Amino acid sequence: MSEPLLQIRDLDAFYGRTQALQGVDLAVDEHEIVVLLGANGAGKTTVLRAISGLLATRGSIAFAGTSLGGRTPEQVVRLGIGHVPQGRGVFGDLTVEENLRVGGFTRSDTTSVEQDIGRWYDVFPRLRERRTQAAAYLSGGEQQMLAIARALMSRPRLLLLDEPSLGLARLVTLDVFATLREINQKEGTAMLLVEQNAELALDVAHRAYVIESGRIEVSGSAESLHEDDAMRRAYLGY
Amino acid sequence: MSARFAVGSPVHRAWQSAGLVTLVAGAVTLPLVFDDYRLTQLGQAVAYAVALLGLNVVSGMSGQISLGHGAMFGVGAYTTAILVGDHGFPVAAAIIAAGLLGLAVGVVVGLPALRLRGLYLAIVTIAVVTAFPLLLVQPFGRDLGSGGASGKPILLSFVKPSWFPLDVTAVGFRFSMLALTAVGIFVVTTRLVRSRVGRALIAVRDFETAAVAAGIRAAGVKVGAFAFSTMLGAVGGGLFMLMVPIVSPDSVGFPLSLLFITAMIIGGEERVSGAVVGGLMMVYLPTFTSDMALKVPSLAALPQPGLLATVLYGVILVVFVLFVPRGLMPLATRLRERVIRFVPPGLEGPQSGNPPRPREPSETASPAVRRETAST
Amino acid sequence: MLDSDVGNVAYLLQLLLSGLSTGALYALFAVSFVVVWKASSHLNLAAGELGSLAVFAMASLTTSLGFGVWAALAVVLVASLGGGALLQHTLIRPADRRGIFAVVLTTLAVYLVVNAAVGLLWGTQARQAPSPFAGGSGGQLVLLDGPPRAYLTYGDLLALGTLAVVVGAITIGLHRTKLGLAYRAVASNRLSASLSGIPLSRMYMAGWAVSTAIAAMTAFLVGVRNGSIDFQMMTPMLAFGLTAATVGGLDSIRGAVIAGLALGIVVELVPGVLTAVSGDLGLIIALVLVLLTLLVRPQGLYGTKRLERV
Repeated sequence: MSEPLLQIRDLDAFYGRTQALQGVDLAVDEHEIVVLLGANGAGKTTVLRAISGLLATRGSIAFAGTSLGGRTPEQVVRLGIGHVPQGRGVFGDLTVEENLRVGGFTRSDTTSVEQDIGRWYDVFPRLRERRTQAAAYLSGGEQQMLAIARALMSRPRLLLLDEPSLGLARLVTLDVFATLREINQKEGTAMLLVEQNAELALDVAHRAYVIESGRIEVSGSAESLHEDDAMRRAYLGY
Repeated sequence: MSARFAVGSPVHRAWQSAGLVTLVAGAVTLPLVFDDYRLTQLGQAVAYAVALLGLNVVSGMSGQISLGHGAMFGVGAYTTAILVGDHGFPVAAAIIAAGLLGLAVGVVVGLPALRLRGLYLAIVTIAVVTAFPLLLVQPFGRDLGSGGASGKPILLSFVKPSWFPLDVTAVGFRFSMLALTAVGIFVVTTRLVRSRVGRALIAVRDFETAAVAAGIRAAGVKVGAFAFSTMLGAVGGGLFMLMVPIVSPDSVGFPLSLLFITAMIIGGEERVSGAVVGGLMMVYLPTFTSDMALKVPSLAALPQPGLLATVLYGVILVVFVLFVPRGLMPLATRLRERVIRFVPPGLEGPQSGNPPRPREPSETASPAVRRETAST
Repeated sequence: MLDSDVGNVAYLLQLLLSGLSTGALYALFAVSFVVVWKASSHLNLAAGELGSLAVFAMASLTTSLGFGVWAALAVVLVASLGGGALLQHTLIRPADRRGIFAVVLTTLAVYLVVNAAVGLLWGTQARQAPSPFAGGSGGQLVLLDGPPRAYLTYGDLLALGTLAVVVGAITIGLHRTKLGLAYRAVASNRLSASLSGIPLSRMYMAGWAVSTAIAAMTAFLVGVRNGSIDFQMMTPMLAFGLTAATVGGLDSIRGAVIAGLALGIVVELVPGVLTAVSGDLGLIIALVLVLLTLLVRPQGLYGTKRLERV
């Protein structure tokens, strides 16, 4: 078997003196959607922040055979990892189109950046309608789509998504997840999805991990987690 | 980290009482030992220390920076000089009036600025401290008796009364009075800092949201602390006039504020003893550097060798901000604590129970300069 | 209560013109604060002193080394760009790890060192300002012949023109270039900007560089206006510039310009029209305006963010 696209081994992270992650092992294969489940404060976001170089950590994170240790967020983006932060993080006073153009900051070929903007407008037609509006005036779902499209503008091989369902209505969440699935199938973009909403996330994912108090407690295929009632009740609460 | 406000243990009490007795004895007996020149310098340092104490309260305890302390010092000095010289007030009454005026200015300036977090107070106080010297030389200030650009001399008829038992000069007597007043102010302030009010302040500084939830009116507490600090700044300026004959507009502006800030950072912004170190530095560092400059020919040839002290202040300030953010006094305490360890009751962080949720370490309100790692 | 000349159109026009040209300097300096604030939420309190240093260096270049005024200006502007970037990189960045107040204190330390260094190197006496015009502000462009006359000096025109050019260049830079877009992205959301691959540290350096160069330009124009320079020349400007920036909204270039010009007009008009107000009360007016702004509209006229680092 070949090396996974993302390989995290024995990862520790600290906020001050509080240990947020303890010996986390996690892998994402090429073209795979992996979901990381867990309660509030379990350490899900910390894993994503560690990958993106927003946090000093101990342990090893390798992406496509390259170590991410000690890299800045800019370098991580350039290596091919897109990150949709929690709360979407759109540039509220920039227009929709400017948001997308910022997403393509790391690319120097302007014509292909413009082509990509058009491509994501095709995938998210609402964004095209609102291309000249300030992003702050979009609805929550539209902002989430903008944040995803912006991250995809860097043409990542791996997309990190931090609770895309946060604050969205169920129907909108379903729509977002369906689009993610579609992008994964068409573009082959691997995804590491952090979610509290286990039920919906397990539908879209291939594999899943459950994190609790900074440790990975369970891992397996999405179906097996879905079907394991005891586990579901213990960790996922539905 | 809370050991700085350690209270309660008998050892600590004894230690404190001994310190207090020493200070009082020193205030009274130093004039027997030192000549007028040294006493004047020392007295100035003590007056600066009182003003710095105020700055400590606002910066160290409320996590805000005031750049207006030079003006507050000036308000006190001018009020004292004008009331004593032009209106025949007794010195003590004039200094009290100066303090009250400082308090009032603090409320007026602090109310708009301190409802808001961040750098508002810094901006407003810069405006205050640059406007104040200008006000003094304008017709408005001159009508009040500021004496304009040449400054306001103070005519002190404050001589040793017959009941005073020690054989000291007039300067010596004034020094004793100044120093005893300062000791009193330090004792009261220390008590305040350790009282419920002080704890409320620290709570507001460290966890504003939680403090508000617990019913502490954050803005009120901060305005109170700021007004108290401007009051001490003004009192310090008033006391200063016991030691110097004149105050002028260019001595109470932004440069003085910057010296106060530097002295505060050097002494350590969180504790009262830092103010004394800072006060001594404000008097002796310029003397020291100008002496040094005179010995080096290339420096002595400079047009204004006195400015070397200012360069040194700047260098010290940046070194302390980057490398010694808690100032000198905590260092000294750490040495002392190797011998005697005070256990502060109730102020230590949670010892047991669940560890707090991981949270962003960088965004809590903090003293003016954040410490990179927790101490003790 | 009103000044006896208040009915005279030329008198009022002159107050307005002189207010506008003073205001141009406040506005320009305020823009230098906004440029840094937008991206990094820092206040560069040393900007004015770095400007003083630049204009004194200019004076030496022109008088001792035979540079022309414009050549000397070009040299110090380039040096200021480099100096601002260097300052951010060497001192501000490490201080930033300890919080905003540590950054403010560091800029104050730079203020102290640079201010004293200028005094040490060039003395504390006023000296002639480097100026492209004879006698500082140069000739007059008379708009209404008097008496009293309403006119703008060449120095005033230079100040207003510089403001227009600087603001125009910044606006075009921010809205028409990739780097400008990145800068606005950083101003809007630092985390997302960083996750989009924008190197924050270089953006901050760029901001400090541009801000320092604008401060140098301001100091040069202050010198032209006053005809002389001295080592304390920028201290009152610090209060005026900060006031304009605060009233306008610290993250708004447009706010800084409008508030700066308005502040200049108010500072000239109030003592010019009301006889009860005598003397130079500009800084006191500024102080009152800052306090009122904080009471009524803390984010300023055009600001979007509150003045706290989020």
